[in-house]
Amino acid sequence: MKWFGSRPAKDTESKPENESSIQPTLALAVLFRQLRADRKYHILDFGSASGTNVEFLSRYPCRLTVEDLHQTLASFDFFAGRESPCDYQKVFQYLLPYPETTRFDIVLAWDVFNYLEREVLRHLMQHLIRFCHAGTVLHATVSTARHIPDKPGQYRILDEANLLYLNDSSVLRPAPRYTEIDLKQLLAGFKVYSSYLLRNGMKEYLFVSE
Amino acid sequence: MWKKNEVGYPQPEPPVTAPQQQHSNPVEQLRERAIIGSSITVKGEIAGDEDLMVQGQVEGRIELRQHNVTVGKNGRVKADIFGKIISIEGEVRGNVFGEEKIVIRSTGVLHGNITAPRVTLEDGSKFKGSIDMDAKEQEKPAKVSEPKVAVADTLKPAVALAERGVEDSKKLKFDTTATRA
Repeated sequence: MKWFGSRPAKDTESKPENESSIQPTLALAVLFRQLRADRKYHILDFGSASGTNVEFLSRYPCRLTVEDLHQTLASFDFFAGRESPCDYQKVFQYLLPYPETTRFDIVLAWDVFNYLEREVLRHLMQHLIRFCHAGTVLHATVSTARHIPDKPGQYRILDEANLLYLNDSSVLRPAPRYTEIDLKQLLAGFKVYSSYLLRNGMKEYLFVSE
Repeated sequence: MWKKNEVGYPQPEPPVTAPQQQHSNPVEQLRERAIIGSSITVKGEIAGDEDLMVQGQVEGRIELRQHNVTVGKNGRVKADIFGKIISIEGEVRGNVFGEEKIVIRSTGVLHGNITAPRVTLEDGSKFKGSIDMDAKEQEKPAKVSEPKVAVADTLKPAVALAERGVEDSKKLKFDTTATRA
């Protein structure tokens, strides 16, 4: 007897995001539509510098701080094996030395958290929250796939509602697959405002600092 | 018809100068430009009345607000730079102030802050720092008062509208396959 629904289970594993693709984004579109012409925003971008993104963001009155976090950490051999316990707070104070008066309005963390260990991510956010005010918005993309390229992809803003994802790496590594519950625990001071699943298996989150 | 060269017009001797970078723009070729060669190291302040090409090393300050400054591929600058159009092909550590434009070429590396009405980052360039993109504020010294409204304060109604599909679909090309988690 053939049971109802006995066909082979559909492979629910998302494809690793190791190719270029346009990603329609709902959360970012909402965010950009809220930006006003009569005030100035301080935006922190944790990705690599991109002329396309700078050109897009230049339509808003803003100060853009570019901090290629993965590159910065890699340049200090941060991802190499650490023998002794690491004082992450001191590390981030050294690597991300923003003036105490700095307050970011928007933080862009695209494909950043996927490459940080749990403790590193926790301490990064503890450092970052000092430079946020109540209402700072954090937009992040986090992979739901089991494997991800061995280095972060780059995102280019095509328009308000579309991002171009680029990653030329063909080598894969296991992904941490942070869930929403994980992120709530690790991103102290932030709460999840909304989240959406993108076509490429990435999940985009809007966090708001409390 | 006779040609100018054949009737013996005196031809000026080509000036002996250090080799310069080829420019496609003939106006750029004619401009006077000082060159700091690749074996030269300068410590201190550089000011003057002509464009500057840096192929060597400079530490201190470069102040040529009315002129163009180019840091060549071999150039290593540890200084704040003030210029009209500033083009970075080498490495700069310092803040950069462009009256008109700042360009970081594909080979360029800049660790510092940028202030300019127009900024171009070519693919492959490396930049760490801040870009002040409020050109209006630079033109008007008076600071625009900022309303005390956080971005997040306006998110709730916007998200609700977007999810109900009330948003103008012509303006917002939402992915209809996106699902609310």
